[in-house]
Amino acid sequence: MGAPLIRLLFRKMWNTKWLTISTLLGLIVAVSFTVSIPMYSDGSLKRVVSSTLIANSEGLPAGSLLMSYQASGGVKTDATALEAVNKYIADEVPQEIGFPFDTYVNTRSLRTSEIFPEDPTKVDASRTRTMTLLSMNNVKDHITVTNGKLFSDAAQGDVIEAMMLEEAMYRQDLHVGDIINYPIASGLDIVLKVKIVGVFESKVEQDPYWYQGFESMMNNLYVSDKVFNEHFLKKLQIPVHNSAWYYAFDLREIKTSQLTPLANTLDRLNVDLYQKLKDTKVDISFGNLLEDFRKQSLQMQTLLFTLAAPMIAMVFYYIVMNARQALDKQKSDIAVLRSRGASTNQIILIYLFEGIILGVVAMILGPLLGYFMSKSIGSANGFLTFVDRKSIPVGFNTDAILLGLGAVIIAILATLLPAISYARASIVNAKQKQARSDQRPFWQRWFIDIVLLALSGYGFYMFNERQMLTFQTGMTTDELQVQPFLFFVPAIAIFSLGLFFLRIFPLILKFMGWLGKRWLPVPYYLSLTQLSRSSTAYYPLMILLVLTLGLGVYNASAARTIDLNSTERTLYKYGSDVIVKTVWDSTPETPKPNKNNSGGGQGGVGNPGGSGGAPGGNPGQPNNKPTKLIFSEPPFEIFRKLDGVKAAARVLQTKGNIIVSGRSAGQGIMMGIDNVDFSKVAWFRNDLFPVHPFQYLNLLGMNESAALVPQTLADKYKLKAGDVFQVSFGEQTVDFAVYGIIPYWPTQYPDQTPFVIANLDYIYDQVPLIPYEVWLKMEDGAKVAPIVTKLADKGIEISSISDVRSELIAQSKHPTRGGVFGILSLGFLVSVIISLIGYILYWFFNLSGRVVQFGILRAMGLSRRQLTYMLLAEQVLTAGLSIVLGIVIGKVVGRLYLPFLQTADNVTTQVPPFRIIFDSKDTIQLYVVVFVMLTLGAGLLFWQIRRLRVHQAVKMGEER
Amino acid sequence: MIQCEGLVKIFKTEDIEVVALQGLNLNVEQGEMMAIIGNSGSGKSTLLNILGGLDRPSAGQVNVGGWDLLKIKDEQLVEYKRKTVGFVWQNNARNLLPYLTALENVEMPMMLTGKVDRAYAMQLLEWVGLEERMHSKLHQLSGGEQQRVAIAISLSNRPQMLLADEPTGSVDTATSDKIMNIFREVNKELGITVVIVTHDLALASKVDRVVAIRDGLTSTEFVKRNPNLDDAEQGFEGGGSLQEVHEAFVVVDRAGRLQVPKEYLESIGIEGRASMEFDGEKIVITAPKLVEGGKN
Repeated sequence: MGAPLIRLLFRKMWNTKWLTISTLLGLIVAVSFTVSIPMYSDGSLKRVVSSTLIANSEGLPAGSLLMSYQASGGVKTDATALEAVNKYIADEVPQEIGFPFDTYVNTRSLRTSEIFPEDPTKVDASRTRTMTLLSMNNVKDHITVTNGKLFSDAAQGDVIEAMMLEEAMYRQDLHVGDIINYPIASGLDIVLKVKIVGVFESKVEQDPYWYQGFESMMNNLYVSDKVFNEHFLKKLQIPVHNSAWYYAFDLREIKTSQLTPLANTLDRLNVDLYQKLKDTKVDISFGNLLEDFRKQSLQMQTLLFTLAAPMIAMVFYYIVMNARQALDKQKSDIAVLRSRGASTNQIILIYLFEGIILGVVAMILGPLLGYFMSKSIGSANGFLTFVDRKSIPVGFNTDAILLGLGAVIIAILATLLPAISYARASIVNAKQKQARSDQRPFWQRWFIDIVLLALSGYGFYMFNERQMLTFQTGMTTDELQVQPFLFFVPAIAIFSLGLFFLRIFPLILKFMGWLGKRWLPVPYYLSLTQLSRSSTAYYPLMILLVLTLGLGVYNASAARTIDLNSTERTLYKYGSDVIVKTVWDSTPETPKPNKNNSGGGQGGVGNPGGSGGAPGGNPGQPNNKPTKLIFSEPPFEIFRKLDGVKAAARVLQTKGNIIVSGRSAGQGIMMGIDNVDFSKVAWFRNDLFPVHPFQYLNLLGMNESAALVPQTLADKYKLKAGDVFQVSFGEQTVDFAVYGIIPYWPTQYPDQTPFVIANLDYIYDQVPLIPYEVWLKMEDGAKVAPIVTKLADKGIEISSISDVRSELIAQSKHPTRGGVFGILSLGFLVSVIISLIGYILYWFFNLSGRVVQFGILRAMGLSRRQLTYMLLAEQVLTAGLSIVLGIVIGKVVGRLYLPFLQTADNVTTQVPPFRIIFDSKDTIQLYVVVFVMLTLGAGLLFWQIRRLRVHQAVKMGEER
Repeated sequence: MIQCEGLVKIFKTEDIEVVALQGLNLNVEQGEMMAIIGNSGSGKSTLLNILGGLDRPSAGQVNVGGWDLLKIKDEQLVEYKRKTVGFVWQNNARNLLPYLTALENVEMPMMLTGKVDRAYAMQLLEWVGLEERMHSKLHQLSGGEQQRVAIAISLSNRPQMLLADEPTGSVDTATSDKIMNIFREVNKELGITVVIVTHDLALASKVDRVVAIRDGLTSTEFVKRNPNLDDAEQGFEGGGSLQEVHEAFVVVDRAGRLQVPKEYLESIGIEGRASMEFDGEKIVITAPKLVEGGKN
């Protein structure tokens, strides 16, 4: 019965092309999104791995495995066991590890011995030389012989040929051609004659082959491994002192799923080695690295998953809604098939085949689309910015395929399960059921919405009490500025708020109906009636819209907030684009007797970096006579003229004792600035100040002793504008007058240390020169490196230079951060696209299912225009309302939950204060999408009404 | 072909219970062409649904072509629908798949049974006079044409019996005649039993036998006086009241019950009980004697 049935199916699919295509489209979108999320997170994971590998590869490569056999004193070497362990390590270990390796070295050495030259006339015998005879396999491939020749593979009679490192020759004062005696201790009483035949250099210095490091090779005499094995071990029976096997594995292709088994293998290795040969053990392994990976990947996965989970749930909801609707449209067709003698199994088979065909197509196209999606998302360096970063390595992985398959299976089930129930029901039952379709959805009957609402409320409470933070253990703040739960709970909140609104939606409709009963024109009245009679039919669309748009708004806002706040925090910390500290020439001053002065004040002078070996660096001890340094200021104008520099300013930062009305207010930071220059370079966030920050700079200009003090200080000591206070720098005390009270100032953290902003020139008038920093405002894209060279040319020595832009770039390159933004961007796009497609498909199904109704209305005398108005009103009331609701709920939830983002971070450094961002760009994007959506919806409507042929619909009768 | 005995069908919703068939009896012979008439709500469509295997009776006996429709299993029901019965609904949405062409629609039941016989499908469409429109989509066809496609569909699996529910309900007289002619042809040439449900007396007068259903029971039977239906065409034009062509009988069930038309009862004021007299030839039913009224 298979073939004709499939023909029937193809007929059905072909003749209902639009339905098939739209279902397929929905499925492809769903599959591609579900696939792209794990693809993306796997890709970011790979990035974590590779960046960890790079970070761990200073010194030995990350995948280093060093095993060694260390003979205990005087024990004879068990040659067979050594051979066995060697074979095991050479052949089986790489297989067990399962990764390709770049390097494999086996180093064997004899016990270190004190050598003496054979001919003391040629070689200085008075020196004590302690050297080791050893062999490394394949050493020939890694060296270049710079002098003499390569050792031979066989012993020349008694004499053994050996080579040395060039540097070692000098250090040991040995030469090519020298013959030395190498006595073997351990009771054998053999003295080996070793002839140095050559000098070598390593071909590549960074080659992991030289894992021991060159320093330790200075005392080594290298012989051929053949000589070592055949002559020493076999012939002379000299015990091996040490044998080390070193592998450098290439772990770049490591997958999360391999971590645990690999760690187990490594743990087991020790046991295996010891069993094969006593005293053999693993010295260095990458087990810790694996543990690191595991921890990081776990964190990353939890993070990305919790971010993605609401999105995946949304996609699945969309699949189910879509499948359900497509099937509802075919309810009558199923009944017809049934009445014509189709068995339940045949109906199920038809829909199963259809699902499988569509599923296979979606499984082919979806992952491809998902691949491109995650690839492009992978190059995101911020929220919705897809530039300026190397894309992450995205690949097809099992997780992605499984999740994609899951999506397909859910879609098939979503069609199949109701299809079965429809197939069971006869045409009579079907019609009966259609007549009673206004049952309340299950979530309303079970109060799921209220439960979820309570749950999200509880989440809010928990966040508020900060107890939820305990979930975050193990995630350090610097690598993770996001709490997974902060995305999960709000998603639930959005969902439940949407559901809750749907509960009261009929009431709103009723109220509107009651209000407008008298004066509403027919079309609007009709749409109100239609909505209130069959409001449940609109719930799926409304939930989808609220959920997608709400999540979209929330995610966008969250991403922007994280992005902006961390950027601003960094900008605030640096104060300007580039901060240059130069080395100031200084001459020590002959100290005046100043014993009565405590060392505290001196600290400020000793503070600036770059005072090199100046004795001022140790001011804490009064016994050590502090010397004052007299600095000479390097030329400043050069800075202004540097390429790419827009503006430059001198900024003095030093410590001083703040004295208010004769009492110390503790140590604070004294910041001296040139107000005009400063205004050009400094980064201000205007909303931090009650008035424009330049007003404060103007205040500084009003009086040379004018100063700005932070609010905290002013509050504590009841300072008012006009008050005079002092700051003492070492011996000098300078008077300042309060001209302005400010909450924040770039680079200053008033909660940690109070600060005083004053005129630089005034300070320099009062106290000797103290080195200042130069703040540079750069042109867009101007590099720092040329500045360094230029300054060096001009003879200005730089002690430190920091570029906020490179810091920001480094931050944005952090894999976790990239992952978060990527997923959030992806989520935003997913929500937007899904709501768009969902909306269009919904209206497509809805309208085509109501043709008869429209026909009747038209036949009853409703004009085409009136019908259009009716449907438009319907759209506005359902879709329009849910769109507005989605955006509003998203924003409200953002306002409620986003402030908790800052608790995830170190709160004390959250200066400047956190602010929640709704970027107008995103909102505009969203509005554009919504506008397109509504336009398309309306277009679909007009199209449907235009092609509506009343007679046709009425002729076929009954709604299908 | 059809034997119904005390057929009962009860529809239940949460708060209402409707007894649509209250012990209906009906016998239809193989090869017969008959009509069932009744007012709306009399239970005739319920009966047809049960006969078509679309609904199950609540109680009683119903046997169609050897199948006991009360005890039939779901799989057997499928078999029954495929082999025994063909169905024409009044509403074309239930007859046809709108997106297929006429020919594809006819082939659809064949595909379900697994044997596609395109030649036969085309022959059927020719038969109903649609050879020109075989490849037209359904919405390009008129109502009458759709109805004729439906007949072709119902015949596609060579059933033994054809059930038609108001087959001419939504078409004009000319089309209606055309459809009736097709039914008659089917009946004569293929020997298929045809059962038509209608409330149209004019239509009913064109068949051999008419059974009237009232309140879920067969009440009256009309049997054609002139068995030669084919040349009775001109007779219909006169107006076609059922009695002109048919002899009316009251149906007496196995237990000997019969239904007296309500008008009769009302006109002589029978309520609840009546007197019955038998004089050897006739049974006379009269209003109860006054004595009994006095008792109350």
